Amino acid sequence: MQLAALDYALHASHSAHFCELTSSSPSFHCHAAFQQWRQDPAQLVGFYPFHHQAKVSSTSSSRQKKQLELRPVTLGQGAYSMLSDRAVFVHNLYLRNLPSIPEDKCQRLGLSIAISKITEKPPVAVLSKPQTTRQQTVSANASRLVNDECQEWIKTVGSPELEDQVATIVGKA
Amino acid sequence: MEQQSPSDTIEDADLCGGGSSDSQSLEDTLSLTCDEDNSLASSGSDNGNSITIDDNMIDVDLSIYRSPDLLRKRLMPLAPSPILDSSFHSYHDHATFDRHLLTYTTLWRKRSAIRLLCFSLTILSYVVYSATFQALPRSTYQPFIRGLAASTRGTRKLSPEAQEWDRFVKRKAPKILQKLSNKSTNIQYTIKLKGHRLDLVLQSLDYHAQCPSVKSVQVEWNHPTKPNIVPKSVLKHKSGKVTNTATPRTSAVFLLDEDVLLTCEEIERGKFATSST
Repeated sequence: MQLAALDYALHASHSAHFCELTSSSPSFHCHAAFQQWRQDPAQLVGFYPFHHQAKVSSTSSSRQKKQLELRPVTLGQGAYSMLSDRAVFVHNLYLRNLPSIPEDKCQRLGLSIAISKITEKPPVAVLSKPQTTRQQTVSANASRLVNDECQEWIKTVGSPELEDQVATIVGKA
Repeated sequence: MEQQSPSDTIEDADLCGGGSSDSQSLEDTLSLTCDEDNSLASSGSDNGNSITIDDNMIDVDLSIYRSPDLLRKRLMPLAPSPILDSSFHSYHDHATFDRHLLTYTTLWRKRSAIRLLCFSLTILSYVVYSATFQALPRSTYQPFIRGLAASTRGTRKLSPEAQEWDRFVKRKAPKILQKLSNKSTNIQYTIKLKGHRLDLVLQSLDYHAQCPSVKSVQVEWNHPTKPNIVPKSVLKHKSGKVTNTATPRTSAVFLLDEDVLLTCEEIERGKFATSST
C-alpha cells in the first residue's frame, strides 16, 4: 500500500476522557455525549471500537513499507477511530445505497471506513462489555496489521479523515 | 652602434668556414647559424659597415614575435585573418570595455533588485500562509485542498470499483446526508442477525427479540455449504419477530453477530443515538 493512501489524518488525539454512565447515577459529561449522539443519525454507533495507526515496517534499507495497524480499544486504552460491524447501529439508507463492501476484508471495519468517508466524521462508540458466546481463537486485545486486500480497498474508497474520539463507557464498567 | 675589432671577425670566420679539419663536424651541425652570421656580415659589408648590427631591425623582428597575427601576415600575407578585427580592436578599446562594464553593472543591479523582490514575495507568502492556516479552522480550507487533490487525482485512471465509489461519494452521498438530517426516524429498529450456527442464532433470538424496541429480526444465514437458506426453526421463532424480507422496514438497523449478547439497556443507549427526531 502506498504511503499516501494510508496517510490517515492522525491529528492530535483527544485526551482519553472516560466516564461512567449507569442507570442509577448518570454523570453530566456522559449525558451531554448521549444527547449529541441523538442529534446525528448519519453516524455509526457500535460497541467494538478500534484504533488505527500507520506502522512503518522497514523491509529493506532503501524501501519502507507502511501498513495499517488496528488495535481494539477496551476500557482505559484511550481513543478510537473505527468500529467493527459485529454489533453496530446503522441507518437503513446506507445499507440500501452503499456500493458493495467486501466481506471480512478489513476485519469487519469496511462499513465504518465507508461511512466515515461519507460523513467525514468518526463513528460513535459505546464502550461496553458485550458477552460473547463463542470462544475467540485470537486474543481480542491483540493489535493486528491489515492485509494487502484491505489496504487496496481503502485505497479504492479513499482514505477518510478520521479523528480519534473520546471513548465513552455506557453501562456498568 | 657598436664597432667590433677585425680580429674578432676573423675569429668568427675561422670558426665557421675556414677553420681546421678538426672543426668540420661542429661546422656541419652549426651550419645554419653560421650562414646567418655570414649573411649578416655580408650585409654589413655591402653598406660598408660590416661589423655593425642595426638595432631597428631587431626591434621589428621582436614585434613580429609579440603579435601572432603580425607573424601570420608576414608568413602568409594572402591568407584571411582568423582573428576578427572588430573584436580584436574592441578588446583593446578602452571605451568599449568601459561601456560593456557599465552594461554589466546595470544588469547586475537589476538582477539583485529582482532577487530582492522574489525574496520579499517569498517571505510575504509564508507569513500569509502561516497566518491563514493557523487562524482559520481546518474545516474552512480543507474542502479547497481536497478539491485540489481531487482535481489532480482525476487525471489518473481509476479502477471500476474506485469509479463506483467516487460516483457514490460525489452524487449520492450528499443526498443521503441531506435526507438523514431532515427525515425523522422511527422509534423502533430492526435487528439484522448474521450467523450460521443454529444454537447461537436461536440463543441470540431468545436474548434480543424480547427487547420492546425491536420491531423485527432478519436472519442472514451465511453457512458455507448452505448459504441463504434459513432453517425453519429460526423463521418460526416463538417471538414472532423473525421475517424473511430482504430490506428492513425501519430506519435504524442493528447489525449483530450471532455470538454477541447485549442487554436491552445497552442496545437502547446505542439505538437512541441513531433515532433522532
